[in-house]
Amino acid sequence: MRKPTAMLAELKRKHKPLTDGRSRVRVGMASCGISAGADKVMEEFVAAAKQAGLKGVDVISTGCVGRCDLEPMAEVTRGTDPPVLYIQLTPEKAKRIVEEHLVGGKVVDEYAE
Amino acid sequence: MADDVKRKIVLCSGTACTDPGGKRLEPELRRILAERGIEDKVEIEEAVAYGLCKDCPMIVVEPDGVFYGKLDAAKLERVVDEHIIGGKPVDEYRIPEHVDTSHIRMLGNSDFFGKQMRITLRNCGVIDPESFDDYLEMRGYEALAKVLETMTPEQVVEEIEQSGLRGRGGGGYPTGLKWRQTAAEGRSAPSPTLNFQLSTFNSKRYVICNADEGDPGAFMDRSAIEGDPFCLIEAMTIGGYAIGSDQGYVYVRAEYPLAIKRLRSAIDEARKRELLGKNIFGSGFSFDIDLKLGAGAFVCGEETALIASMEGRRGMPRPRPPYPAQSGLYDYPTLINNVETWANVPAIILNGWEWFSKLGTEKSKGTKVFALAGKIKNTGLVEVPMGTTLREIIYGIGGGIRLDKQFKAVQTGGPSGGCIPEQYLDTPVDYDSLIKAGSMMGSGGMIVMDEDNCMVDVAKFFLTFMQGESCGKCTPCREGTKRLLEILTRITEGNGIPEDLEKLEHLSKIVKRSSLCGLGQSAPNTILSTMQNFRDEYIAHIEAKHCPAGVCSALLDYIIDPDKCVGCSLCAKICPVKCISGEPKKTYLIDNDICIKCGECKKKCPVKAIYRK
Repeated sequence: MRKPTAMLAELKRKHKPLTDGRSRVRVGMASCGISAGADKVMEEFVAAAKQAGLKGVDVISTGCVGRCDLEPMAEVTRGTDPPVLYIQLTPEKAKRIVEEHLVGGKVVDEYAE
Repeated sequence: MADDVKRKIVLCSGTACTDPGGKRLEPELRRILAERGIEDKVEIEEAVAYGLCKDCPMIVVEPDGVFYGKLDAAKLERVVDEHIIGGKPVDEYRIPEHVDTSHIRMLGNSDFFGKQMRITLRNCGVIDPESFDDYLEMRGYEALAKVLETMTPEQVVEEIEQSGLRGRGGGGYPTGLKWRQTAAEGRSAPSPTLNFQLSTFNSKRYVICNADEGDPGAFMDRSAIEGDPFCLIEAMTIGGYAIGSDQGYVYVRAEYPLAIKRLRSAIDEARKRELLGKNIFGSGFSFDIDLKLGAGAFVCGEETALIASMEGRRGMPRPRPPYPAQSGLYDYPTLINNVETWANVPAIILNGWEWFSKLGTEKSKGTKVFALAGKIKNTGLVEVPMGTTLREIIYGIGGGIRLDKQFKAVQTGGPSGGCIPEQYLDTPVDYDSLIKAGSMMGSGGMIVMDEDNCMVDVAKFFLTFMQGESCGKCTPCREGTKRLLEILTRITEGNGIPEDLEKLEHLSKIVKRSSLCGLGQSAPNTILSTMQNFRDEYIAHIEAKHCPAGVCSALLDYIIDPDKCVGCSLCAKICPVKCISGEPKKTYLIDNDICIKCGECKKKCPVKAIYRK
């Protein structure tokens, strides 16, 4: 009989790692974020990334980091660069972040925390 | 090797530790081991990311469980020589408390995040809550695998008991003791309940998660479920194993649709992988979880009312004992814990009770999540070790009072708690100190008030909530809260009489002492604490008919500043009771005896000449 830890190890072998070098946009999509407009921001991240022809970018939803007054927030990790936390986003800001940060590699300082 | 222990070196697989351009340790380690000719004797394993990136690069030496951080080649050589070969850990390089601080890493080291310690919220905002893979990566299900493989139910209960964890829903009852009592119930002697026939058997038991979060301003349970639903499922499964239950329920309010959706999706994912259902991890242990949706009555957060509601009866509490541990859902022994309490369980199992019991204060271990709200700069959820002072939370993490106004009080514990004034700001936050300061921990709401808040109005606000939520079963709460509210309303409307203060105090104490459940017993807390700490405000309302903070509208006069008034007559035109008189181009005047304080004139005035006093 296989042991629980062995079965867990097997599950882990199959899983897709969280940090695998792909660019990631994590949008805070808890109730608080959504009520501040995170769903529209997330849509824009997806649309803008597609429009810019970016491949290898995952736009994922995540929970609440606990900073209500800064919602909507997104954490953007370009490849192996350190992550950048963007705050108080709008769809327009999201578009600019995709164009300048994810495509151009330049952090949009004015929107970052 | 100095001792016979076969050691293993575990490498962290986090980004910072494995970055090819960075501080990758593995080649160095293999070289050092090869140089000493022991490369075959020491196993090297790549584990999941530990998330201790501030201490990277790091390794863990097993089975000792020693974490080493900030290593380089020279330090690594010493660790190999002294620990792996010599058997003696190198204390200087150890990471003192190997808490998973991955969260803080990702959010930078600002005051807001850097001063927190996130255990229950560790994955919130880090992982995709609907992704099982993400949860696995954050050491998900390691605790359950450990429990099922290496621990007996008794050992699990003991681990929780030793950790010193106390219920995070408000009461602060020792969690381990609750687990032990539920596990013991129905195993031996009949319990002194009505249903002894059932409980004399080695009976069925239930596990419940109380996610009926009702305090105004508290939303940590919602965030924890929305951000990390798998953690709750794993924890409840561990609880089920510990007490011998095969069925769990999450009682969650229907107005948390996103939490419900994510929890459902997580339950489905777990079932798909046979981590819920029959024969979990092939261990023979079976456990499943279902949701029960509550309609959002505050009283249903009380455990006996919650159970009544789950059984399809009206959500009203009943006298205890018997406690749910003896006779709970469908009269079977039932273990009820709050979301935040559950969220601590996997972390305790993974890191050991010793680690947990080092956090916090003597009688309150671990961390607590607070929902910071009110007149504070940084609103949001914060998780800090027990014993952190209110000042540190409000000024250090919360950034202080909005618009740099004067701090007046902080209300902790939601409507059941009390208002803590400035002189208690250095109180360390734990269950017992807060009670001493005239308040309570509650579920962790923290509403900050400044000079513009009227404390009588605040007491009225919370009492209005409690009176509305009183279920009506027992007289002291049903009638008492109603009468208390009448007196408070009268005071804020300028009709208070001097005897009211005494009456309030007397009645508050009666309601507190004689109510059936926690709702009534705590409903007068805000009145009592505001009366104790801000008595002069009550007296000003009653005797001078004046609201010092300028909030209670019935006690305020609207006045037109003659220096600013341009005589445009707009105020006189909009006034619904025609109490403003004057001639165009001259100063207008408000007759405050007729004025109904609607404030329309103030809104309309184009030169802002009207003010309240």
